[in-house]
Amino acid sequence: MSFNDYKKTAVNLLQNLNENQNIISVSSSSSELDLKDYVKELGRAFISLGKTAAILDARVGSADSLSMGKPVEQDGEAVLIALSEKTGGENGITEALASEFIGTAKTKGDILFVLTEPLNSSVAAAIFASKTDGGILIEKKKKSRTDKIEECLAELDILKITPLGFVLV
Amino acid sequence: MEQVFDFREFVLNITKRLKGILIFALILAVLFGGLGYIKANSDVYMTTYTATVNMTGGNKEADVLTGTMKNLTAILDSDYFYNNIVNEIRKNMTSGEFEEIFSTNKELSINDIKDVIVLSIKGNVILIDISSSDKELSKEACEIGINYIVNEVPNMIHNTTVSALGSQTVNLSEQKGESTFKMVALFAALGLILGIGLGVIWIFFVDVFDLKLQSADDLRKFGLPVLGEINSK
Repeated sequence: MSFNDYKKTAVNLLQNLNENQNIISVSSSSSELDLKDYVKELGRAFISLGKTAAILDARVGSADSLSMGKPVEQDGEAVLIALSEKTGGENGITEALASEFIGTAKTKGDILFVLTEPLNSSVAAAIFASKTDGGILIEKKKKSRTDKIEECLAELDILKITPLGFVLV
Repeated sequence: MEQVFDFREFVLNITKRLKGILIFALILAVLFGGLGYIKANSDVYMTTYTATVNMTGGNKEADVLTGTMKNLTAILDSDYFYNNIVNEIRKNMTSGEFEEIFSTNKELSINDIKDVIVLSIKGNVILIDISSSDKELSKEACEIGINYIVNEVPNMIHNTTVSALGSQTVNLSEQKGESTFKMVALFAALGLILGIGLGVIWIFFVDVFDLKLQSADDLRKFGLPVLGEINSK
């Protein structure tokens, strides 16, 4: 993978964001695609541009096992954060808690990527996604299907998430 | 997003996959050519039966005999005589039987006739050989030939006998060398055309029904920007 491609993507994304948008939902129409590595690289690309970046994994199996606000994986310069059982996890997350968490993150960093793929995989993913400022879809060439992308965009619309664009991998 | 058939894209896809289509078409051409060869040679060997008629011609006076036989030789050698024998056979047999002997119901050239009917004279004996794949038909055709000759030149014929039928097996592939080549070429051409046709149809259906993402252009059709393309290689 070319890091330059990620930097170009980061620059394009920044140009498409207004000053109030920094919490980005990341999902994909394909449930087979593991977004974590792509988002980590994108986080690093932002950091290389002089920004702070973090990743919140709000997916099933991630949301209820990690600690809120605490760096759990120091992978290069991008930080992966997630919810803990203490804050609710998969079944216990409330809109109020999610809002509080997002509110804190919004003031702390330049950009926060929230992994919510697939959007309907869990309540937590849906709640967090609905609190974000916009969503991007990562789609894989020759794997993602246009009809599934259409469905995914419809889900974003139901959750009132502004679609910001696509990243093709 | 509405799926619209893009003819330009379709043509471009054909161009891109032309090599593959041609390889597929060539494979089909070879396979079909092989089928053509098998078909052309599937009935290579055929047994034919030849009935022979002996007739005694001329009269008892030796000097007159020589003159008579000379006349008979000239008559029997004429294309006219051969044609008339064929016409007699056509008149006295069903079209199916005629086709069985001559392989066709159409007008025959003199060469086609002489491939089947052989008239010859040895001393004062006249011989008619008629070959076909059915011995009864050969015999019947010979008898028709005899009757015709007897009726045409009654004063020159003394007696007739039909000899036992002889049989031989001929290798038709030696005679059909040209037709084998034609059959192989025809089948190979059919395979080639079929291969190209199937290739184009395959691309058409892939274009129409394949919903997989091919390029960033497919994403732009949703009306959203493509923020980046990450090269996975």
